[in-house]
Amino acid sequence: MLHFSICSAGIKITSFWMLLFGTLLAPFVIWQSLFIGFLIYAIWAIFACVVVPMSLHSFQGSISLGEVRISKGILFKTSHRIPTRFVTGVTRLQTPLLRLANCSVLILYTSGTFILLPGISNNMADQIIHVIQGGSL
Amino acid sequence: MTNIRAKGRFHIIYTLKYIRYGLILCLVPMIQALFLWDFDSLYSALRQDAIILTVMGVLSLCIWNQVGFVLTPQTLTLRYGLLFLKQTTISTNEVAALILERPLIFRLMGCTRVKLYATSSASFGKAQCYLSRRQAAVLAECILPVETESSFFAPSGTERIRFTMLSANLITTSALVYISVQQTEKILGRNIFNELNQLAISNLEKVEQLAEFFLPAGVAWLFTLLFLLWGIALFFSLLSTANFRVSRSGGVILSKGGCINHSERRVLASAVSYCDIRITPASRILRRYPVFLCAGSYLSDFPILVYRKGYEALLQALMPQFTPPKPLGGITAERSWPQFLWKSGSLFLLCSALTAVSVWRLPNLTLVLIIPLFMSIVLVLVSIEAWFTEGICRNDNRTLSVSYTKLFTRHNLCIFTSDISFSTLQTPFAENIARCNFTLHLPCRKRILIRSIKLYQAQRLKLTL
Repeated sequence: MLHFSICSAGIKITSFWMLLFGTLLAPFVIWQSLFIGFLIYAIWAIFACVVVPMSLHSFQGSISLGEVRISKGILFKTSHRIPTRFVTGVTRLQTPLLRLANCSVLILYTSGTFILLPGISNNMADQIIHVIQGGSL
Repeated sequence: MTNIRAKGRFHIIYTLKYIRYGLILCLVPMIQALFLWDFDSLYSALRQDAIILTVMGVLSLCIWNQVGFVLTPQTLTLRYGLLFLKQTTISTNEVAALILERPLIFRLMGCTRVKLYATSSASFGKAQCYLSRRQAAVLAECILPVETESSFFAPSGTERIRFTMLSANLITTSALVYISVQQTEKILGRNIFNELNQLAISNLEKVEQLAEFFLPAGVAWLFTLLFLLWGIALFFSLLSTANFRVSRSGGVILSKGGCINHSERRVLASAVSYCDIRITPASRILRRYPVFLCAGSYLSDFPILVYRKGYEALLQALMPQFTPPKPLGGITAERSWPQFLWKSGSLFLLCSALTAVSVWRLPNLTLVLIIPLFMSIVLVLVSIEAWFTEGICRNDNRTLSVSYTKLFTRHNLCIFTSDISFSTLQTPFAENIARCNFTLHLPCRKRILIRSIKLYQAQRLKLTL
């Protein structure tokens, strides 16, 4: 069985992108109302810096017996199960920041859905791709 | 050397697709001129129309000159576009379903619309082309060949009436209702509605008087409209179910029929993802349940046959792995009632409150409000049934049986494919009672939600066969 989770660098980068997204949009709201704008931005910052890392820390994945299992969530717990033999494609994304942190984003496609694995360490990503392409565990 | 079975351009009717856009452009200035009764403007509009139609005609002929197809025993290649060319190569092994449609205008022109659906939505998905009748027949025989047409199901007599009634497309009816409402709104004008709103705010008595004046006609209009729409749906269903036959030849399920608009559906039996037995209010009364097929990215909009309890042999002859529907509710202790009843229950409470108020203040309105009240009661009953029956389980022959409810319809699915994935969601309340919402992802990208099932049942459900 191959266990995987999101590495700490991957969590930090995901939080950073979430915070950056909020920071870029915040001026548009602050322009409308200073107080409400800052309030919304503060809520977003807490979401990006606290909730998202907590949620990503709860991420647990495994590949065994021909299926990929992923579970995550703090209050609302979700889990996904997809059969490895019906994974039609794997996309690996690397931004400059992810390359610096030795991380990748993996997207697993099946004919019915897709699964996003953000911030997986490069070594782990290699192993996941190897197993999904029919390699031994 | 590649063995080419058939090749050529699409049928000339393909150009109509582009010319019709030109026709819309032509109509606008003509109508404007006619409304103003200005013949000079009309003459210039006609000249303008002639230019537009000529340009569109030339453009569509240029496009038609480029589009075409090449069929070899292994692949079908389709070419589209004018400046930006698009070429789609389809492996004949990847085709799950092939639909040949011949509406009246196509029949007069000797054309057939061919729709191809892939075994998996990860592949080409869906492709469409317009071919001559002979070319379409060659294409169908090459991709999904049918040798003998021994009929399994050919409704006649009362069976035909039942089949027609069950096939009456509710979606078409709903769309017609929506169009009718839009049209009424246009005819009456928006001001009337605004005035009615102001009246309602300013003085309830005036509304009451207005209601008293209009309502008898309103109720009659409502019933007339409902029966008219139902009649139209039944008529079209009757036409499409004329000479309807279902047969199986080798690995292909063939269904064809239609009076004015001919259609032929060929579905690869091994690619059938699931069959869906829909229990609608009409089918409960008739005790016959329409069966819909899904094969890869093909989702049938027309029932392939009618299922009846105790007559599973017919479906098993078409799909040997078919397992009849069975109760799947499992353990119902602590199953969430609010999750099943919040929508229908809220609607029922709203309708009840409105009816109660109408009995007290506007007795003439009660008749109209009884209809939604009755509908909401039916909806509540269906939701209660869903609480007992909704579930999922793996059958002995390794197929999956699923039961879920949407609005008035209970769907009983028998899933044959193993190309599926599962996901679960647990809210804090559901976690407390070890239950979860279970979502099934199918190859046609359809998601099926099964509410409030036991978590251990979801976790133990085998994904791979």
